[in-house]
Amino acid sequence: MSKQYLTTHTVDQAHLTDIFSIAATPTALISASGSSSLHIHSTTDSAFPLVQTLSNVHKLGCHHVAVSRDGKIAASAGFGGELKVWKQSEPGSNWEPFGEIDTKSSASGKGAGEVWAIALSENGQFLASTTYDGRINVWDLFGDRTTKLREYETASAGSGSFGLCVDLSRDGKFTASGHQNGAVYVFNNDTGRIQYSLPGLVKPVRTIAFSPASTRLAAAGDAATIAVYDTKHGEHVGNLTGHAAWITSLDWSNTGEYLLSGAFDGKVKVWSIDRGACVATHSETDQALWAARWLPKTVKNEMFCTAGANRSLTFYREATGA
Amino acid sequence: MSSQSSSSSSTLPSSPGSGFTPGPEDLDLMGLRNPRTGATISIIKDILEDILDALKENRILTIPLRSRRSGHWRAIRFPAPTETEVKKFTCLLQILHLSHECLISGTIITKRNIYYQNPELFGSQAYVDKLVDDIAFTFGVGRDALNIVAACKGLLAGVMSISMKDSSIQNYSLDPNGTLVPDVKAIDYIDAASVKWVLVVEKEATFRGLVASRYFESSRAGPGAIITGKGYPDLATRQFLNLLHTVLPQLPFYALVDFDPDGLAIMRTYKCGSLALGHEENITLPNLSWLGPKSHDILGCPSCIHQGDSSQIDDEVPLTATAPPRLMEVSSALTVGDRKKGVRLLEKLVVNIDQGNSEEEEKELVHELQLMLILNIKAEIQAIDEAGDVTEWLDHSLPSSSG
Repeated sequence: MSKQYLTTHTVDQAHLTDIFSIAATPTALISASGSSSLHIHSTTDSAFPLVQTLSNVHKLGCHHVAVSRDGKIAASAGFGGELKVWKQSEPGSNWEPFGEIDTKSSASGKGAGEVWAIALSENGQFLASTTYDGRINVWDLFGDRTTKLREYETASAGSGSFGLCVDLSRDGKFTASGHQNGAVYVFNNDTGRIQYSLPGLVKPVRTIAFSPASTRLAAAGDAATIAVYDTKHGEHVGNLTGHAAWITSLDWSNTGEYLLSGAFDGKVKVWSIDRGACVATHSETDQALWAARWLPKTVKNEMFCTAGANRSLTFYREATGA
Repeated sequence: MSSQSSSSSSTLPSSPGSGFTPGPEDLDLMGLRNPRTGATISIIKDILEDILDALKENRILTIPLRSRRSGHWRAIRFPAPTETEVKKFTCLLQILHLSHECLISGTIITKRNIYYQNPELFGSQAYVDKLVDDIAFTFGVGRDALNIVAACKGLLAGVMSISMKDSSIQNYSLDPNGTLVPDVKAIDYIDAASVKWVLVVEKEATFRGLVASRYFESSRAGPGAIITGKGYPDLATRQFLNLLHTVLPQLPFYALVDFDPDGLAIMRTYKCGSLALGHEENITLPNLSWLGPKSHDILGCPSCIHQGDSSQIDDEVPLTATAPPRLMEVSSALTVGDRKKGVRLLEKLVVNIDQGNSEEEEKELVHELQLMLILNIKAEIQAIDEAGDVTEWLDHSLPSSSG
């Protein structure tokens, strides 16, 4: 049985250049692009109006943006290597600067190196980031930001494989990373140790996501296959195949029943985890999708948003009835 | 073709300051003549005259030389007790003679050219290089003051010929390996009337492949010229390109560089000059446009794959609308150094754009650099070569001249 989704709205030319990353709060969508500003579109209004622009925040463009599940803390990483933090005092209010993470130096002496992918914990207290040499750093945004809470090495110093993606489990217990060489790692944030080195995908892993209950981990990338792992035992439990291009983005639905994936050929797919099958494929563009995100369920129908090389934000909602 | 380009192909403008046909007086005007030229000529003249006198008087012939290591003076003699010294004397005499000729005539000779005057005598290029530096040190002048320049690094091939000041004519379509780019100061006029395009190639290997297949004759874009500076180009290659552009302003220039931060930086060096020499004039090529490979050449454009699926339209589609041949399936990952270089270049470009002195191509470069960093990929031109379709790709990518 397949599901039906309809394009409900498209914000054309939401940015002047490729949209590289989006993040959804309960009421808004934050988008980042090759230009210097972050845009915030309201998702509670059916016209999805632009409600705030954070101008000139990433001079060289922004490649990753993340937001905490409660929608209070956001972080953005720019091509210049800068990592900025944002906060919202109450839902719907304006986002304000909440400092930066100094990645060039740290109290412990060693800099974090180029910050690449980022992820935030449920309440935004913890931020995980990858580096080009394969390290994964975790900071406490509410504590001493000059010191890394955790620093995970995936190889001997400086020789790790580029960390293309990272995620924090909702319970805050695990950090997962996907790498250029296809490796997938899970780290235990309590012990500060590596939990699993999972059988990877050989090809670059560009996106990784924990299920809401933190029992599953999905990873995908240039292999065009989504690998699903069991986080309790560190086992590879299945593959979701059907994409014909590099997979750039993954997101679990709030219930953990469905997985959303976006690919380089502009196709977005919805997968049923129970059935291990694709239940919907859509494509509004044949240009690369860089990001696909579910919107937190605030209305009856599930909604998601895609963005990428066509510079637009496309919103979909599930069609009711058959 | 416009009358302008056909006329400019015959003779170079020779008005003072235009810089193409510098006579001895123009050299002064352009600041090309070293103020010490007269002094250098007389030093050499003194040495040569002294040798003639010694011959007449049946003395031992000598050339004074100062050791670059110790700074001590010694006389290189002929005849001499050792064969090494005899050889050294003969070589020095020949180099002094050539330098003297160049200084008098206002021409330039390359160290390589000196070596080829008599390879058996000199034995090696390194020996020539060493003696030239010794002479310059002895005279207390720079090598340039001897009108001797380092061999040009760049290579050129194409349906063109250049008349030199020494009245020789170099035809650039003959040597299957390409020919060294001439020194602009030695050029009298450039005959490139039939050249429709100039391809500036980053890599020597790519250049050799294209020249060996005589792509400059067989291209679908018509006859053309191919040039390489072998990586980051030297001043001479850039000066030559600048001259070519000035002589033939309508001629399009295309860059074929690696899809990596170095390749893009090399293209920028041709186009805008290096950062260190940013103030120098007559070394840039503002109308150089980036041919590729670009991200879509490497990754293929998704829409092309899409079209391939639905095989309804086929023969009706004009050639230009067909998908460009994919260059390669796989590419390699950026290194840490590549990424750092990429970010630095990105920064420069963004600063340029912020200052408002940018063009569309700079924005495209920013975009391509961002993609490179996000995807963490690069692709080298050799990879195209291996696939054997670089000429096919060029035929597709080079705009055909529309007459």
